[in-house]
Amino acid sequence: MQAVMLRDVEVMRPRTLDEALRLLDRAHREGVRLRPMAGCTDVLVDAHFGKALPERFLDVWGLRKELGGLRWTEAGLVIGATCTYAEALETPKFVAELPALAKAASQVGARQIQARGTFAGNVENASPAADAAPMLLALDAQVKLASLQGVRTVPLLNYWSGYRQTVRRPDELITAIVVPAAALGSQGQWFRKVGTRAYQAITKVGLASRLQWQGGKLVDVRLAAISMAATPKRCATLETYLKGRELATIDAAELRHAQAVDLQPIDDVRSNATYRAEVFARLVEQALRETHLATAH
Amino acid sequence: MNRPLSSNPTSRDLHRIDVDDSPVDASGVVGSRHGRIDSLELLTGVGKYTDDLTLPRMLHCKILRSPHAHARIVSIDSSAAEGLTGVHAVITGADMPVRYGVIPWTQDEYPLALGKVRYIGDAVAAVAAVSEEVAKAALALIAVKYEVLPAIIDPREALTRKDVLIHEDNKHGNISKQVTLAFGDVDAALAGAELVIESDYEFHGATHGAIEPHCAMGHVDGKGLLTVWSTTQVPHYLLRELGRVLDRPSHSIRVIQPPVGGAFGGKSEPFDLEFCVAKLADLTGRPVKCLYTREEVFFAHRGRHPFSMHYKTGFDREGRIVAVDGKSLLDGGAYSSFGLVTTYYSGQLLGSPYVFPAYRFDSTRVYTNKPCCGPKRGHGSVQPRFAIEVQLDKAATVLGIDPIELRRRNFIGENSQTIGGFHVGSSGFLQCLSEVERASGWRHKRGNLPKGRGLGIAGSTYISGTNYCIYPTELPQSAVQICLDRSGRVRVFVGTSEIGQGSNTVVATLAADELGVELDDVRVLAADSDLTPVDLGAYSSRGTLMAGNACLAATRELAAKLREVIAKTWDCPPGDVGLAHRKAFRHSDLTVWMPIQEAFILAESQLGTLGAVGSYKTPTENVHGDYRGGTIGASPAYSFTAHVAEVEVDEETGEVTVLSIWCAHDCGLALSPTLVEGQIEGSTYMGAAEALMEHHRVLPSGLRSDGQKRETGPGVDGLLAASSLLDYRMPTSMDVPDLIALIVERPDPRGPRGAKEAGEGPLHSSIPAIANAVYDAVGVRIDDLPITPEKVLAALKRKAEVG
Ligand SMILES: Cc1cc2nc3c(=O)[nH]c(=O)nc-3n(C[C@H](O)[C@H](O)[C@H](O)COP(=O)(O)OP(=O)(O)OC[C@H]3O[C@@H](n4cnc5c(N)ncnc54)[C@H](O)[C@@H]3O)c2cc1C
Repeated sequence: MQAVMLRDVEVMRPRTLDEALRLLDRAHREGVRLRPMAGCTDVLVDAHFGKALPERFLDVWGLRKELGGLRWTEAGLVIGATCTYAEALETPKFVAELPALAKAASQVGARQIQARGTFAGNVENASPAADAAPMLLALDAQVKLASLQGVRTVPLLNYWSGYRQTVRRPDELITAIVVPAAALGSQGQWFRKVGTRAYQAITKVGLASRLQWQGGKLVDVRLAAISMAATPKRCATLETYLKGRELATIDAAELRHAQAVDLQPIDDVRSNATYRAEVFARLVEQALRETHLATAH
Repeated sequence: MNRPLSSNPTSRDLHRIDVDDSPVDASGVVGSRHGRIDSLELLTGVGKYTDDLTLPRMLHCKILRSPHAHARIVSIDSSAAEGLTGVHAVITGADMPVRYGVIPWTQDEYPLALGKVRYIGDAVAAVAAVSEEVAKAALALIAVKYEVLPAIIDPREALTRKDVLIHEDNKHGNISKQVTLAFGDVDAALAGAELVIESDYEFHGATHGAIEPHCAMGHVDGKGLLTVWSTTQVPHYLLRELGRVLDRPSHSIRVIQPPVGGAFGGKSEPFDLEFCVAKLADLTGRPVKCLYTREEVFFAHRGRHPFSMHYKTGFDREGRIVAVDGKSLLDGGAYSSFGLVTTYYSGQLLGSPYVFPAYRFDSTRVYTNKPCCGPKRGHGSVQPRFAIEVQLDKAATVLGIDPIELRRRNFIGENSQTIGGFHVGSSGFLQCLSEVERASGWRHKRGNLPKGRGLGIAGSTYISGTNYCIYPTELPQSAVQICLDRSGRVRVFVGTSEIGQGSNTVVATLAADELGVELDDVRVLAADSDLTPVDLGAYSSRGTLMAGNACLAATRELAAKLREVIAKTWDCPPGDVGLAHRKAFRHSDLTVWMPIQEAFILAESQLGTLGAVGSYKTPTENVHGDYRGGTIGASPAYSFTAHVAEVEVDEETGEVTVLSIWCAHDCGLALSPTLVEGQIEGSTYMGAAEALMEHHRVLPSGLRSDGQKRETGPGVDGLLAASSLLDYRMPTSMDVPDLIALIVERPDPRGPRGAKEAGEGPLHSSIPAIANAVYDAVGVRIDDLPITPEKVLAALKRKAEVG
């Protein structure tokens, strides 16, 4: 309700990653909340709606030399913590190898938001309605964290610990998101968002998935649900049900049954539980049909 | 090249407008392709909106708002706020204990709440401080003690609950207005009908979504003149109410309306902020400005009333209507606003373009503890129009008649009378139907579209201003003052409110056309009560017809003078003199002409300074019905519209996409065709958004705006579901359909050069056309707006289960 008075907020602008980590470490030891900010497209929304804000921010935008851009390595694609959606979408190799992630990125907000918003910010913001983060989850992506204590890598599968919560320690900074090499260019990448309007829309229900078929059978299944749980969520029961099946043996009722074990969506101002559950099931069916058709050729 | 006018020494040293030697073009400016006269200034950021204005030593005002939907104010302690450095004044309800309201008979609002708050967002106190930040900090220091009362959110509950009274002194409990009118024997006609369609319809609330938030600045000068700059669309009514509330005579108040960044009815009455800046300016001796946040705009609202409607419509075998019986419950929100008018309009504006041999309507508006509803583009008639147009579609389906043909059969005709006694003059309704039928390819497409796609039709009508003013008066409703001089320039002083609809351009177009100058030669000064004559404001699509007629009265007087002077020079009858495109010429011999500037100089030298005033009063004969309420909603002339929508329904997700929408609109005569098309587009998009997306929703008990459940009961009901543009689903440029705007011209003798209106009419039928197209596409009726994917999917499921 009350817009924040920015002049009362201290913003620290480190010039190197090392300096940034030292600032985080000191703040942590002094018991001060120092919140990283990248594109600020979430941070400023929080501020506008009067969420309690720390008095200090750490602006990582200046670390683009160290944390920016996309790098293809043996391990996979390293998406730097300050890499924006726009940057990624302007890279043809990214779009070619990760078409569904590109689709998700192109549907985040609209052009203006894509020019500022980052994949890392999307992951750390931990919204159940995020678009890019669930697709990264379906791609088995990992979060690289750095602190003065050292670096660690956490699979996205274990990264969100609850509604808008992550396992990142306050002294840690995300340095990159890594999409493993095996996922790059893999078949069956599929994403669909059902939003409240064409752009500038929050996802009411969505599916980010990777479905790999071999000889007419589903050999590998990853389904990440959007706006269906407190965090972006992989659907273990549903995946187990689907794995090894042929398209013809997938039963609509059984599929919904399995889904209900994984996901219990809620009613809120944007949609209702009945709609979410039914449309999610249909998105799964659509993904199955379309990816199956794509491999049949 | 100029022709020197040797006989006139006084003008020799004037730098002349360059007029070329090309043949005389007698076509005029009316009907030509041109844009708005003020768009360049606004698009380049040079034009100043209210919030762009600042004055030296200006203070900023912020308003404290109620966190409760319904509560008694026990006490307010503002001492801590007053003590904050930088705070100059704090005011509360007790400082302005006079009720106001745009309709004189239903004044039930205080500038700041007195005794009670009636919705979340109701204004309680206001602060003037050196900055917005300090003012905001001061608000947090004002201690208000509330006694929280049970709140009424559901309008049906307002009818039944006697223990909760939102306005204790209202004679009729929570009923704000009730109107029943009956014409003919409805029950007998329904009993004898071949077919009776009976349905319930829910029209949701929608807000205006103007991009510019409300803003006002007040200043009292050394001589005691109060000036208020405001984003209002009704400067005259604002001035009246400022005078009443602040107990000031009208001449000591000046209201100036700078360019407005959209209004759509959302700025058509006074708001708390205008009173607050005026009062605070008076108290502090400094200019004071207040700018709403977006959330405050959602609180201020005055948007489209939610209607719960029950319609019974009888038809004969050929699809002719035999009777209409409509019952509506209007959810008015916390105050009256225009509600008295809305309640009448909900029935009175439905009597055309179809013949109703028997008609009854029964409309009840109730108070609820929600932001107040009022007029939004198509005031009061968009909701019943939705119901009746879907009723017609249902009848067409049952009777196996093409829905366009069914509408033709029911057409009321030109120069006819509605059953409620309204005189309908010109009507291009049949042409509108034919135009959308042709342009959409209706005949070959309908029934032949692929699965999930469909076409729908609807028609409508709207007023060109109301014949009777909001307060009873014999005074003119609009007036214009025009001056010309030796520079070749025309100055128009007009009280109308330019809110983006193009009213300045309309008067400039008429003036340029009548006086033979180009649009660029006309300067329009509008809506400044010290400098311009009174006009009642920009509402009910009255501007073109009323200010246009006033403008014609003045320009024609001046043109006659010019013609006479020129005719003498040329020794010809005045009727032979034409004026167009910077030339005066002889109709009978186009080679004889002089630059218009020379004509102005000639006239000024012979007659002295050239000026004229013109005013407009509505007709008194053959307008309306002769019964109590029979005047409300009557207009000098009516516009007509038809829409065809083509939609695609995604049966997997229930999402509806409008692929194309065709709108044909009879605006009388298009003075500025580009502006008319702009209004058709804006109206139709706005309607499409209301059909599918927008919803100004107030949460019932127990829901927080983030969707989390919370406790119900007093003090937690009545939050807005969407008080930001992220959650309030206004369409973006990516959501809007292909739109084909078709102008139909059926000039009306009562309009200036035959012009009627274009600002609101083209909204109405877009909504039912889309609803009818959804039915054509997938065979389900969504009679409960907006047509959300959730509702479509649920309906498709039900249909599949029934088989
Ligand atoms: C109008 C609008 C529309 C939007 N639409 C969508 C949409 O359609 N889909 C969608 O998914 N999102 C949407 N968003 C949300 C937002 O744009 C995305 O989540 C975006 O990816 C956030 O990136 P950012 O760089 O702006 O993050 P910031 O706002 O800078 O930060 C977000 C969070 O991440 C933390 N953070 C950022 N960088 C780091 C780091 N290196 N290490 C540790 N923590 C870090 C911050 O502290 C903060 O908690 C929208 C936002 C707006 C304003």
